[in-house]
Amino acid sequence: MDRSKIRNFGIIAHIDHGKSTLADRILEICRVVPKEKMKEQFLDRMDLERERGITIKAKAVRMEYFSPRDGEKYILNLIDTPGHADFSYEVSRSLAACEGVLLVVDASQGVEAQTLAHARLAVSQGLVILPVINKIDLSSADPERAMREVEAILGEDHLPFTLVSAKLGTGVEELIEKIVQFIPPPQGEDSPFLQALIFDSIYDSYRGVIPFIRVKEGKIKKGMEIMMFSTRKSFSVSEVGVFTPERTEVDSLGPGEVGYVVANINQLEDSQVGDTITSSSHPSPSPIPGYRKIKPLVFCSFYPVSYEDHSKLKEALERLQLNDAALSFEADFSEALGFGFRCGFLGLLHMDITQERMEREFGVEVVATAPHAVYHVLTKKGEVLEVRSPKDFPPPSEIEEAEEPYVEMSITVPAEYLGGVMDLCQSRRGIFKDMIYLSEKFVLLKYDLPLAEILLDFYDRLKAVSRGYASLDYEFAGYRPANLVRVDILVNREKVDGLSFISPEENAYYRGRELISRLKELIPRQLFTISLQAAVGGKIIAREDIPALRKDVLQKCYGGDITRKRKLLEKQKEGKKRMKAVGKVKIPQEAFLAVMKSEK
Amino acid sequence: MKKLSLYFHFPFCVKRCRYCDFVSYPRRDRHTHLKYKKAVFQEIALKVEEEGLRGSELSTVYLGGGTPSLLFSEDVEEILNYLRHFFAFSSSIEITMEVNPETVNGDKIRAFREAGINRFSVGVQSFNPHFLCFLGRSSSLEQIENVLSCMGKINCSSWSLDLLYSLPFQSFLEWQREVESALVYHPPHFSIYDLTFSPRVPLYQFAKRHPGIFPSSDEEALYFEWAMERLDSEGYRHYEISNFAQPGAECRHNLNYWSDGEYLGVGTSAWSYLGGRRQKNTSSLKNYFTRLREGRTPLTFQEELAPHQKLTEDIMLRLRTEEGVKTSYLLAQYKREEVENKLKCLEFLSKEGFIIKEEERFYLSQKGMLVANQIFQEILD
Repeated sequence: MDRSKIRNFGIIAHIDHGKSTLADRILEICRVVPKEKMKEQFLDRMDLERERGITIKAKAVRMEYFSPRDGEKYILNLIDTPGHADFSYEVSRSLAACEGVLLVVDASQGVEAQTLAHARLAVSQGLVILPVINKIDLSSADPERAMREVEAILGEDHLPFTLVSAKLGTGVEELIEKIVQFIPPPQGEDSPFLQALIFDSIYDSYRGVIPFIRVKEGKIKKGMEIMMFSTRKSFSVSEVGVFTPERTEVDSLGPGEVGYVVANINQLEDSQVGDTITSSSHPSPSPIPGYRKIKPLVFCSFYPVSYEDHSKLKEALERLQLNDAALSFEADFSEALGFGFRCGFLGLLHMDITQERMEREFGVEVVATAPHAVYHVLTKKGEVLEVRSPKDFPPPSEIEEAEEPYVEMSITVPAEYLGGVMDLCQSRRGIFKDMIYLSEKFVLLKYDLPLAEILLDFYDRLKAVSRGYASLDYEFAGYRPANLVRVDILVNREKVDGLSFISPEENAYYRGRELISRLKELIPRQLFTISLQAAVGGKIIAREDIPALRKDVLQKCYGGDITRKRKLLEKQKEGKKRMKAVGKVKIPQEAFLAVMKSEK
Repeated sequence: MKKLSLYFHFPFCVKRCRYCDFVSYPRRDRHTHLKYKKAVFQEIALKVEEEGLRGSELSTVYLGGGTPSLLFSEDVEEILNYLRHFFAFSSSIEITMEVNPETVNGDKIRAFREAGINRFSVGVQSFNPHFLCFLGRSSSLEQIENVLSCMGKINCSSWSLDLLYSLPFQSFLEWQREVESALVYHPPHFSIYDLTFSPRVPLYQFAKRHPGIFPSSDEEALYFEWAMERLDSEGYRHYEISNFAQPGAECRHNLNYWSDGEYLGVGTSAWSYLGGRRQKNTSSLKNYFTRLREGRTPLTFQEELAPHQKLTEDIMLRLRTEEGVKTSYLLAQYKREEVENKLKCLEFLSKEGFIIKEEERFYLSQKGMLVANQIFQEILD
């Protein structure tokens, strides 16, 4: 394979800016997929992805392109990237497999926060960036503005813009020519040391885990013994191939080539994104830089809606995990919600998608508890705790120091909504970092925010204060010390575990009071007065009472009503049994789910 | 001689009220009424044989519905005569008929009285034309007033008046007016119900869409507590959760339901309680006719109560009444161990003030009566 004829590239675009449509047009022009067989948006294979307009997992396609300019045949490898902040590590690994990217911006929407974050990533990895303005056919298109905004990110010194309409195909052939012309062919040597980057993998029930790789140096072929750099585990290669887009076996993959490896790998842990594959007999002295072990940042628990679904839920999680290394789970038990699973996610979208896939693909309905971050606590005894559930958070007297995770948040917003967005960030303990005018109408805001503050309804609130115009992107920015306390809720003076939450001390009073007033709405009135208290380390900070029920439905009860009445009472009593009893008080499930749902 | 009550269901109405969950069919023609009456006669004959009830003494008869006052006085006479073929009438027999004001006038009431009815239950529900309209009642205020003024003049042992509260936007003052309007006629007996809907009735959706327009449960408590005091001051006894009566004017037919008494129910959707079994007739008029034409009983449901179920039901039903439940009675009827469990529960509730314990008698306190459903749930197994 003549390396100089290979072009490896990715596409960076915000959700709905037309990445998948553009990819479809490129595939069509290279005749990978005949037009009549083209299922709209080939790259987004899962229905869910197509519906949400986002690409969850990276994929790759190899295309052959005959350039009318020089009559040469080129191999184009399009490596798709996932489109959300939660997957920024995976995005960085996909980009590491490329030499260049198309930066696609919607001519009517302009630059959004996420485009920006990914463009920065591409620049920092030394990739060539081809700016593309899409959707120029729209009546609302303003390519001038979009170009100005892109310039604000890339600086004056950038490659020429290509104006396209992926929908109509306008400008796409010109764009492919530019890919061949401007994106450099891969470097690399035919060294004896194999170095191949894993940028994704899938699970095949017959062939095990199949890593998707980009060869940096050396060669990989059938029969070879390979080794994973991070785990030092060896496997024997039974097949290598490329995506056309179906898996097609080839003899070998050399430097610069993109394809897959079948090597009887059974566990997803043995094919981690970012890891380096090398040869067992001649191991490369160093791995490809940038590998990181994925660690979940957000936790929440899933409980089956009906008890019988517990094993179905477990099976669904196991199956999802086969293709999703970032998903982790362990058995969990809540007195109120029964047996379930505590699951770790990269972020909120990852959590949402997992829950939705579970319901859609596996038909398991789940109750999800409010998500929360992982806290670090150094106790006075010198222990370091990783707190994943409020009930494990020690009382104030035992804490030497606590830390919470922060994210670096980028928000693009039209200038007219700037005030509202800044107020929102301030109210969520945001630390202002920077403000850049992308154009006279658009502003890029940067804040450092505690992860806990964006877990609940930050996104919804952001959309509300900006009438849907703001977009956000964030990156994990490490742990920082915080003055945190656990707020306990006492029902008739008894502490209820599932209702505790962690809060910055200065907000504890407000949030305690807020939760209590919501509980007052959610816990039905009962035969007795119920006292609700919020407490920090034994000190009561807020209190409300639910007055006793004075009157229930009375209704008549004559000869024909007796059986029906008894059955109704039995049903009501059964309903009460499903509630959690704290002393003589019955607390419904909704109350537990209300914890930490943020105030208006 | 075996004592028995008899319930006769007449499922036809002028039109169905919007809140009503009873089985009723729009009036139909006289021909259908007669056909129905004949079918019920067949059912009586069948059940009397099957259950071995021949010769039992009837202590009460209740003609309910639907709107049994759509019947003619000749029909009533015929029904009572028919019953005499199978049963002995107790000398103090109570024979009640439900009356909807739009179907009667003074003459018809007097004719019913002469045919043998000695107790009327008048479905008033409200004296407020707006509420009558909201509820979809067929009677006008004038018709209601006519029937009520005639009640005092016909010399029957008792009569009753139904009122509903917790109507949309009903103020406390409006409720007070309802009770005062009723008291003008000195009814010996009151039934007072809160407006509730089963999901099957048209008003249910309306109520779900507009929950805020109905008085809150605290307001309802106030309305009901006031009614209890007001009626008490007029000498009425609050002898069951929803029922008030001047001494001696209690409805004996209903008391029988709450004191584990047996009863035979005939007609569509009627329930019977015989020999510890609860049975229900089909609600469908069509099936009712078909089954009887084929000479079969029209039952659709039957359950034999297990001893612990019977105990629970017995306590719950007795607790509805002023009389309450007695320890000695329970111990005589049921297993000691099971009774003692229930007694523990009653003791607990009496400590909390929902039940009053007087020597060996337990009965609901005023506070307990208002939350009776909650109390019964505590007593359930």
